[in-house]
Amino acid sequence: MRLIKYFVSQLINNRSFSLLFILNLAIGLSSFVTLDVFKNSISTSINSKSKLLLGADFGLSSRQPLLDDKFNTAFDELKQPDAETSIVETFSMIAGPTGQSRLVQIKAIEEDFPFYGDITINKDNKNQVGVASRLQNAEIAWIYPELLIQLNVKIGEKIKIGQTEFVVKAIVENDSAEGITTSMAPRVYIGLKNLEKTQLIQFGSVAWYSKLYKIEYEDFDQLIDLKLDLKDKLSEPSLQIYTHKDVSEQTSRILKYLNDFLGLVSIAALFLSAIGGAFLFRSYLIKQIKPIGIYLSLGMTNKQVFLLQSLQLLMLGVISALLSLIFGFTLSPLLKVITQGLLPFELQTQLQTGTIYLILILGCVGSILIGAPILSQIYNIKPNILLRNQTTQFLKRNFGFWLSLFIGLVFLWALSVWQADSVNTGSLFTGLFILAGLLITGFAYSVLYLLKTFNLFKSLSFKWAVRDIVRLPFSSISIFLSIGLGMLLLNLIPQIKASINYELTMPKDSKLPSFFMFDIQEDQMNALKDITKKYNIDLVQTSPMVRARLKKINNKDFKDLQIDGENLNREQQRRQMSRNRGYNLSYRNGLGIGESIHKGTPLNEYDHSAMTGISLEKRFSERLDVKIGDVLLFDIQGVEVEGKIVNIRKVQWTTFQPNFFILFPDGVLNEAPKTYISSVPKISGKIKQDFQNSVVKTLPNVSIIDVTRLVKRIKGIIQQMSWALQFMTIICLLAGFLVLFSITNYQARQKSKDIALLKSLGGSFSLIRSFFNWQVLIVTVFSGLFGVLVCFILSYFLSMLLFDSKWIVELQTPILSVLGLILVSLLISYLATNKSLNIKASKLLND
Amino acid sequence: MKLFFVLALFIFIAPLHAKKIVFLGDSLTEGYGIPLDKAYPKLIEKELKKSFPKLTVVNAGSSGSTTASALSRLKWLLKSKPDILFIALGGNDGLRGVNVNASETNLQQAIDLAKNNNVQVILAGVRIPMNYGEKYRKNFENIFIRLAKKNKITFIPYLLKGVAGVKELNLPDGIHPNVKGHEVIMKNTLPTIKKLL
Repeated sequence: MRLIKYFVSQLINNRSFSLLFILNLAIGLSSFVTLDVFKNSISTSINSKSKLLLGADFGLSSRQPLLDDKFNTAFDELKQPDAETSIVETFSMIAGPTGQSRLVQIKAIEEDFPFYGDITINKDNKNQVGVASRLQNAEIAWIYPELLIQLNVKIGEKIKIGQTEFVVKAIVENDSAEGITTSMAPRVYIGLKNLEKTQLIQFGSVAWYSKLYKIEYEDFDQLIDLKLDLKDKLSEPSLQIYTHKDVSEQTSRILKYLNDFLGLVSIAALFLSAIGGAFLFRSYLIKQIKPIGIYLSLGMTNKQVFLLQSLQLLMLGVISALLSLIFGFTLSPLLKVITQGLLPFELQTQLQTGTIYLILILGCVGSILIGAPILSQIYNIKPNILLRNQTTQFLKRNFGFWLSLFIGLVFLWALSVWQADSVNTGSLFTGLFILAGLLITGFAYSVLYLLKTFNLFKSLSFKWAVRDIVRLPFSSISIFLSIGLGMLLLNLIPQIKASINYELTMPKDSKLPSFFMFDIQEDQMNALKDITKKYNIDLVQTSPMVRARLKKINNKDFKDLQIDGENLNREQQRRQMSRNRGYNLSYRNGLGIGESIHKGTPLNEYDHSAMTGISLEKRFSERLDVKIGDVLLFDIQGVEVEGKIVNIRKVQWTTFQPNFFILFPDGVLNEAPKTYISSVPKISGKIKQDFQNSVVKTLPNVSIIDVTRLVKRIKGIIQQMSWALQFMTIICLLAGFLVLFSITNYQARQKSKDIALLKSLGGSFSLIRSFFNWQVLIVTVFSGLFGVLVCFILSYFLSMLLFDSKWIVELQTPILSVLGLILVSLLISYLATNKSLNIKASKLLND
Repeated sequence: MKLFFVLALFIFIAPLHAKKIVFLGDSLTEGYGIPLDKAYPKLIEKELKKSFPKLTVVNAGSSGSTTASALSRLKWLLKSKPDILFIALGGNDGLRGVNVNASETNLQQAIDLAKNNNVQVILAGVRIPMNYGEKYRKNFENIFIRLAKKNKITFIPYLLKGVAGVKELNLPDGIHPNVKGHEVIMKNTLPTIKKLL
């Protein structure tokens, strides 16, 4: 009871410190909670989107019919699905009532497809959810809208699929299970029961047979385990086993970006809070040295003092954790109401039990770990400290200091690993933050040395300010470090966001493609130009495409680099297949839309006398395991062409433009047999249909793929991602500013004693103000600049190593944050100095 | 006696003459998914070299190519002065539902160009899977029969005879032959090519 009384009186007596410490830790923890809520909500939202794309949780596909018994036995031994449905997809030429025929993709489904999402059909001019069971009862079909014109068919009329006529009952308005891949033909849905009547599937037919499953799972890893177990059990090379996340590479890439970024923001918020807390506690403890001396002289042992202070820290930590939880419980539902309609996904504000425990643990352990390095230094204090005036020199860095600092860093590392769900990523976060701390400390030492050595200004107040900063190097460096790291973390998130956003930047709507066209022959280019001119369309990135086979890498046969043997396992077979495929080469001078050089030099103009340079796409070069300087030899229809890799190119996939893995300069391949590939920018409905018909009629071999729906789908996911990035950045900026505010505010309030001394020595008000202004300016300008500089270094490495994105310098936040820091600090200092100047010096000294 | 001497000289010299065969095709000819030296043109070259050591084979198979590319590609290939042109194109036309008349015209142009350059032509028939519908399949199959008849060229009715649809002879994608499938193609086509040599 007495102990509680003591703690309460300490809280009241040091309310400025207690309040700021609690606020600081609570902000860090609350940011952590909020980010957790958002992370879960966004992950769930994007996860459910990938489920929509597949229409299920899990699937198997093969070119061979899937035999029920075999799969059921395998599933029985592993995990029993809650529901399953079968699909058969095939291409066929079908005919409309007037005899007009068209290639379509037939998708024969069972009554319970899809498990997630729905197929919206338009029937009798009304949109409704298509009930797949109706497709089973009679020979009816739902068709994609473009087929109405292409087959010259109306709702209610018949189309001939194989040997059977089907009545067109509805058009498909929206298909959640459309998938993320494009198909060269519009889709027709029929019932699986009716597929047999068409007689399309028989020996010699090519079709995709799929089984889709709905599986209850708590952790996504369960699905991955199931996938791996099934791969072992069903060793069929032709069988594809996939989870809903495998369906879209883009979706999983977005999830990775998002998870890594959110992890980084969470850790940054906690680091910020830890730095603020450590600074505040250090300042508080320096003030407490004299009372500690009194406790020691009254007979308390150093260990008891240590425990007393630790318990006080623990209590502050518990209060902070409780505050964060109250925030979580009360404000989160409010946040849900506020964000409703604004967010492209539903916020799940329910705090997970795990999160609640984590906050309590972080509050308790975190507060102790924040204070431990500083607390361990009071072990050295002796009661005679009461006789000394200068107290900070007694805070020596002993073994306990380094040990507790080490434990604190290990704790942060473990937390980073847990947050990032990866040892590498977590270690990278922690390693870079430690490096940042060392760099800022190094910069701070250099500045102190420069200030000591060179007289920059002759003014007395400046000299005083410099003398005061240089006089206590450890104390000054800790301020530089706290503010510098605060500025670093505050700027880091917007900086990384700029890099990721660059990767996600999509061209304006008008530049997004409506169609991709390929197999355009050289002698068809003029005819195509005539058509595009007629419809006032400008083709985008029309590129020649030359088919080639890779024969040698650095004079070594490519086939020798392959795996040999008859009995290859599934993975080896797939790898073998990918290595044996031919490659599409292209040529041009300069970079295309959304391309940038990652490493190396631009392609030079073709020079007959030297070996030509080639450019490789980054991921492709990693797959081939080649680097700049390597020589690749291609076989182009019997003619060998050699090229040396001079650059590795990055391709921004969100531009949706045709791109190539291997590029030659203009001039080398121009004579080789080639076709052209091109994209058609966004065009409206009627023109779109007329243009498509015109191309099909004039250039029958040219494949024209409508990518409008695909682009729209991916764009939705990207916009959601960009929104999340923006929101997280704002949270981190707010947390950063609050921490910096608490540090500078506390620092300003600690000046009262110095002011009293200066006043007693006869210093004028203007001189005292000028002295403090110089002090604030020196500290904030240098620590702000250090923070920003180190932030650039860190963001460069993080962009390259973790986010695999181009490093983009964002200058707005650094400039505004440094100016904001200086101005706010000057204002706080001015107010605090004014307040102290108006109080009698004797009163200040007595306090 | 004189005639006998000329004939004997021809029989003796013919195998030594450096004949060149060009295979103009798509992914089936390119050997999609298998090593280049296991694709049927290379297997044919190996077999023929036993009797014709100086013979060379050019595999001008190109994945995804349609009959529309036949003419321009042939112009490029004629620079290497081939003696025999083996055309195995059309599969992608069929799979993409291209108008059969357009495919026929494209192939006819390529045959004309080859003949005008004194190149012997072998035309391999290509069929499309059953799922494309009986009518389209028939129309498509007839292109090759008509072209062979009209141009009086050597004709192999079906390139993938005994291979298509047989799981053991195809890659997991069910469309492209595997190494064993290419061996079957080689055995099917080799006698016809030999006759021309």
